[in-house]
Amino acid sequence: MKRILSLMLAAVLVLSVGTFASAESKKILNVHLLNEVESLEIGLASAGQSFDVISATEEGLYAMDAGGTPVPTIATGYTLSDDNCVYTFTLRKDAVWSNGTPVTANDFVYAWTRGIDDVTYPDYTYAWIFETACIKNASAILKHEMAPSELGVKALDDNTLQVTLASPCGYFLSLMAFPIFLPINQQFAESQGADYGKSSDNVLANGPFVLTDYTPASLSFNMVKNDKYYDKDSVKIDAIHFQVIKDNQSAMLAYENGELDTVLLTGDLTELYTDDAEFKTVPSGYYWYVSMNQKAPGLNNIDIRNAIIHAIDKDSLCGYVLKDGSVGAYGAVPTSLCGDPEKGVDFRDCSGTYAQYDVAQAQESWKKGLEEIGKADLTLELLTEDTDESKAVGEFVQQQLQTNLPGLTVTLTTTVKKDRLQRMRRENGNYQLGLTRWGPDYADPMTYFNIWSTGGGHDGMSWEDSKTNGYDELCKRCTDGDLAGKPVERWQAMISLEKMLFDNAVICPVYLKADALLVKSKVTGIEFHAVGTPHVYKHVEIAG
Amino acid sequence: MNANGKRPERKENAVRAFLRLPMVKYVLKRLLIAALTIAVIILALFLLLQFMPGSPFNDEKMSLEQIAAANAKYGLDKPVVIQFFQYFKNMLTGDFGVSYSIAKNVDITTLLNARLPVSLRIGFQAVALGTILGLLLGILAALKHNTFWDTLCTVISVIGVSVPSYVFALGLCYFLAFLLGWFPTLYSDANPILSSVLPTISLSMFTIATIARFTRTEMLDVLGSDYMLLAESKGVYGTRLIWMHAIRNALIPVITVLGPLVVDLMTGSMVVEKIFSIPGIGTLLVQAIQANDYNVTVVLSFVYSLMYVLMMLIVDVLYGIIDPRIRLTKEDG
Repeated sequence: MKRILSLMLAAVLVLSVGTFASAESKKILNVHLLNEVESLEIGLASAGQSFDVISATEEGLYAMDAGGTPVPTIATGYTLSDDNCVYTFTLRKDAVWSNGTPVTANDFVYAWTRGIDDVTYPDYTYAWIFETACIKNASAILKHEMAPSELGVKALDDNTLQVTLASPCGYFLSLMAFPIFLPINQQFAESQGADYGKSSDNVLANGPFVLTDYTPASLSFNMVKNDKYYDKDSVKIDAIHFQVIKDNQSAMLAYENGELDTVLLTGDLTELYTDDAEFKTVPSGYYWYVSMNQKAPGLNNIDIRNAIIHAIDKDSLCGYVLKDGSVGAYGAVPTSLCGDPEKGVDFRDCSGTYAQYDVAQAQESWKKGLEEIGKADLTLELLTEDTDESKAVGEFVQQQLQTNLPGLTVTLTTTVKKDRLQRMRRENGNYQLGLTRWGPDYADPMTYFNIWSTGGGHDGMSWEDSKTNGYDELCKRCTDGDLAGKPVERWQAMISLEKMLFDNAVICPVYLKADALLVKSKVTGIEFHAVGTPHVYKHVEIAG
Repeated sequence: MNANGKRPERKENAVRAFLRLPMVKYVLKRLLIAALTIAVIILALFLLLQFMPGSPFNDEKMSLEQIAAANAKYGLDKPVVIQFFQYFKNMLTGDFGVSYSIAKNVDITTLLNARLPVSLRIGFQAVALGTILGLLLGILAALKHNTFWDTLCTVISVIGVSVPSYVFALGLCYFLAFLLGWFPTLYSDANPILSSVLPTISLSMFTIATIARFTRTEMLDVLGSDYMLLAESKGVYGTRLIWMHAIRNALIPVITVLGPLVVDLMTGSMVVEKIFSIPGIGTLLVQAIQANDYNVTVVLSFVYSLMYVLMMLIVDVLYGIIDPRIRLTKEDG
């Protein structure tokens, strides 16, 4: 009996040693994901982790470098026509797909005409990006007035791609780094049919890494260095292992155990690790603000809105409640989004500082506003998501408003994100105050300003005046109108757009979210981007 | 063997006689009830889903036209009644539809094939471990009534029943995997058996505790009964006494309890799967609910209901086999 027991114990020990004997000779990066990847097909992916995985295996014309400047990848360069509307890209000749076929201009044409086709992708959330990029006929195609094949993109030959724009677009090159503009090998995709993009066997790679064992909704999968990649000498690691862990405590244990090299910190754990040497905070680009529905009682009054805007102590919120590197928002555009066309000075530094915490000013506006609407008090509902963070922020905002604006009662309603989004849409407008956020889709302030113009993504607050006071018009001019080709004037116009927003007390900025994470000190080179692909792993190095 | 001779008649009579057997009638009746239950469950699930807030696609950045097109593509714009009948038909033919948000456009059958085996395996391991350990503990406690073993059994039962599987899971993960390094902290397909040990133990704690308590009570009851006294006085002793006479009687209520225990395992598995990152259907269901992935939610709820109904069916049948009184008295008239 004893011998059997000791044999069993020995077997267990041997097994455990066997499992933990890591392959020391290979450099493998172990990355933590919070959720599963939705799809490997570009047109179906809309979440950060999907972009991370796809972008690690595929490249487009350009990519963003660590500083946010577009650098050529599959493209080697371009020429621009005199009217700034026709880009002719030359493609490198040594870019190949993982099945050996070369990457050609036609791969881009196929991908883009497929991407804009909402018969293939009815729920694709980024089809409008073709319009934003000002590509010719994109608007007509999206309205079903033209077929996707009419899109202004043509393959002049295997290595030359010509893109025709409807009007000049100042940020066109940085858009080219966005995943929807990645190429797709037509023959391969058509041979896969409906299975394209579902598992690692159903996609091709042309980038630094190649997936080996991804299956739908996989919680653990790997990608290895792509030997056919033209720039493979820049890739210093052998493989990346992705692990989805939804419980933050298990994730921490795995990190401390060495099974993960990165771990995303959420909730209370952030506080525990702030002083850790491996702690990092990275601006995520998400801009959180309170949307004020001008159809709600009292909120159609500009002084009431101004009072709310100045009554929230954002620095305390970030310092005492969030504590994850998030900072207060003092404008409509986050920091580090993009710089001016002449000297590269950040937009935030060129424009003004708005929505500052000023109780005296808030209370003055409040009194004035109450008089104007003829009331002594006001009750408003604040709608938030049911995440811990949103609830905490909601409670803070409620407390601040009620304390600093006597007579104001704020009731809190929390709901699931999808319901919140639904309620805040223009056609529903079923909210009064709503805590909401916007993430930048491209590195240009218009990605924010456009959402508040009529028909924009966050138009639910019914700011009717935008149609008459010039805001809508100026937005259009900057996006694809006459200012699109005049970067310097356009920059000034965008600064005045922001001023308009705050002169009219349209939105109440709260904070700029930062993501907190731990990265092992032996790992360097992970690039964090607030726009497009959140994490780029091409230049990662693992010491030792 | 005449053309219209005895044999066919005998066969017909044989079939009828077979059907009249109390055991067969009992099982057939149970099967019918099970099938009806499942049909009602599908209806209830579908109706519940209609009341869930939001839609599967209401992403922050979609326009109205895109949402309308998406609804049309997945048939979500048709009247509810039509959607339901279409769905019922699809379920019966095995067409479970595709996932809308978790793994876009992927057949749910593919997801099930990937996720279900792991959950079933770990669930089965937990049931087996829980039942065996629970029985052993309960029997030991009853035999060694009012000794140290009895107290130990009670303590373990109380802890197992009161402490949630989440706490066990994290505790085992921390002490045995993280601090001592005996097991991996996360489940991995590369190491399916070793990395499923901790999840299995966490899941089985409640089962061990409940079965131990029940077994102990039943055994004590049985051990003190008249027929045990008779058996002993007849000269039956030791293992034969315990096995042939005591345990079989004590098992009946334990089997009754096993049905609902399996349900607890299913719900407990959602939490344990999350902690150990097990690619199973527990986490898939939670994810599907949060992401409003209608199809996946309904299919998984259906799978869980199916498992439960099946479990109850097995329990009922086992009951009938073990205790003849049940099938005979119930089928009177």
